[in-house]
Amino acid sequence: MPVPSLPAELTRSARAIAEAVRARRVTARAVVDHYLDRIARHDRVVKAFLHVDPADARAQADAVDRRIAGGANDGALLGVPVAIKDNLCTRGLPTTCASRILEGYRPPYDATVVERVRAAGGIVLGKTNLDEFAMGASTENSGFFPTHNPHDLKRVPGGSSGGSAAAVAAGLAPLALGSDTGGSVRQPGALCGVVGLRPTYGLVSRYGLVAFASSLDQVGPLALNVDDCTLLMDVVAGHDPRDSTSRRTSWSDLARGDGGGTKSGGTMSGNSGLAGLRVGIPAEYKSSGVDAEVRTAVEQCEQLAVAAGAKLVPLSLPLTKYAIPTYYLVVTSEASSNLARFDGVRYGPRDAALDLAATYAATRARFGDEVKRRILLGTFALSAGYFDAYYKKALQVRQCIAREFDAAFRQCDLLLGPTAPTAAFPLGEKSSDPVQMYLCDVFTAPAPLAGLPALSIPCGGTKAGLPVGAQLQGPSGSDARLLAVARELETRLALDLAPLEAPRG
Amino acid sequence: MDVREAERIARLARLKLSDAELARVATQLTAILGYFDQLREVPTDGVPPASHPPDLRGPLRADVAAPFAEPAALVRESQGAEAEFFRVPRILE
Repeated sequence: MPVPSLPAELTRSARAIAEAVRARRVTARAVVDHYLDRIARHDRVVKAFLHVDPADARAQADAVDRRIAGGANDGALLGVPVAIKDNLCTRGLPTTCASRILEGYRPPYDATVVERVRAAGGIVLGKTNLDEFAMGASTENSGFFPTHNPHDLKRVPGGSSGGSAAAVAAGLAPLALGSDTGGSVRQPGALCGVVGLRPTYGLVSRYGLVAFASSLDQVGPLALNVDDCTLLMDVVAGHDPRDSTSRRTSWSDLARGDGGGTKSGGTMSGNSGLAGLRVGIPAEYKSSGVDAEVRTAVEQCEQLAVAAGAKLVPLSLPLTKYAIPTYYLVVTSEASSNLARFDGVRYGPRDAALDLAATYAATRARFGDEVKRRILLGTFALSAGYFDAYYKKALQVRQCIAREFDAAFRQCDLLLGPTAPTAAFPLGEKSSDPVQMYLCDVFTAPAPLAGLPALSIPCGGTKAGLPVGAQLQGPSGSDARLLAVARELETRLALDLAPLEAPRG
Repeated sequence: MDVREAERIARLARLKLSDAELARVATQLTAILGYFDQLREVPTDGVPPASHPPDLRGPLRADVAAPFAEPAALVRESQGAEAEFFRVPRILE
């Protein structure tokens, strides 16, 4: 039986879906059926999802409909399906991190962010593909299959949250959660033409996020537009005693504009938009490595900011080029330690061998090449004789990069630049050269090192029709202000932010 | 990094690599570490290492254990589950 499509105005806005379900103009069940139908028709070629359980999704929707029929119509995400990156634990649903080492694992608990999505009336629609353990920038490192960019199926969606970004862009889900360690929400957001936010470190709980690099990992929302991104932040952000790095600052204080902000007493007040704002334009973000079409699209954003009353502040962040080696030393060191727990003893398959050491080795042979490479790099960087030269040195440069951001935010209120140096690249182009793949993170790796919030918004496209993203970065705690500024830019850009009718190419 | 060094690191990391993998990894890690060496250009004498985002102040709290709803369900996920224990191969003879 054909499933009736949702009205177009609902497919463009998760907030509109929640309002329509609340007002009983549409049932949660009809919303979920619409997205399940789109997944059935289009995910054969996009391959955004690793696991979808239609019966479970429909049961969640029916429960929401019963809840509303019973008079309980609160909840910011009533009937809104949310695609969940497969490194976030979902009770009873597979959670694999796209790794063969966790094949079949079903955690007995929900991550805090998943728990909050459900409590707000949201529907866990399915689990999305990623680079194995979130290690990559193209989703080609998935242990199962690569995801394709819905704007051009021969190209990558970015990564590591490539499944989440592709699902939203292709209209397979109205909202998604990803995780961002060095750009894994923002870069796929840019390459797929959707909004992605990396929150301030500690703002969103990581309880139930499978740890990759603990001093950097953050959970973040992906959405078709800034308003929906804000909607999901309103649900997932806030203190969680189960995450020892969780900040006490409440999200509602930040959102009101009195809790974050610039240590330097910058000129931003409340959540006003661009008027009177000092927008920093780092010279390094216009380097020769940035594709000309990307540069043009971002420069158009600069002009829109000026038209809105902002002042451009040219400045320099000379340490930018050291962020990649710094980031990769920190991330591999932490990963080598975090991934030691995957040994077949407590979760996932066990490849039993004669003794314990052989069992570890046999089980850990399930890791893919990039994961092994990073574990080895990190083990090396932490090993006796190399610790000071590599790991400790990287932590010192990290401090310098954080100080450089501090100094920049005394001159300006936020930074504007490209999210990624190029638009989506063809599948296979960089997969045999690790350093080339690492360079995708050149503009997204610095903010996590300093714990800063950053977001990517669609800011135009290339002649070939590929999306380009602009990145806004702000001081610690300025998330709500970044969203407000992004919203004004989005309005002035006036792009068509509807999901694709069907994947292309 | 030569193949012997790669083998030593792999042993520390509890990874078993084939000879072909070891040769490939040694070449790749040498290239990556060579690229990382540019960090030496950054003067860092006296700079305190930042093992976490520098402005994060540890949100300390009382060390009180909180119950997990279903501890048995955690153990059941293991392929070596036996009652409430994880069974592993003998480690001492």
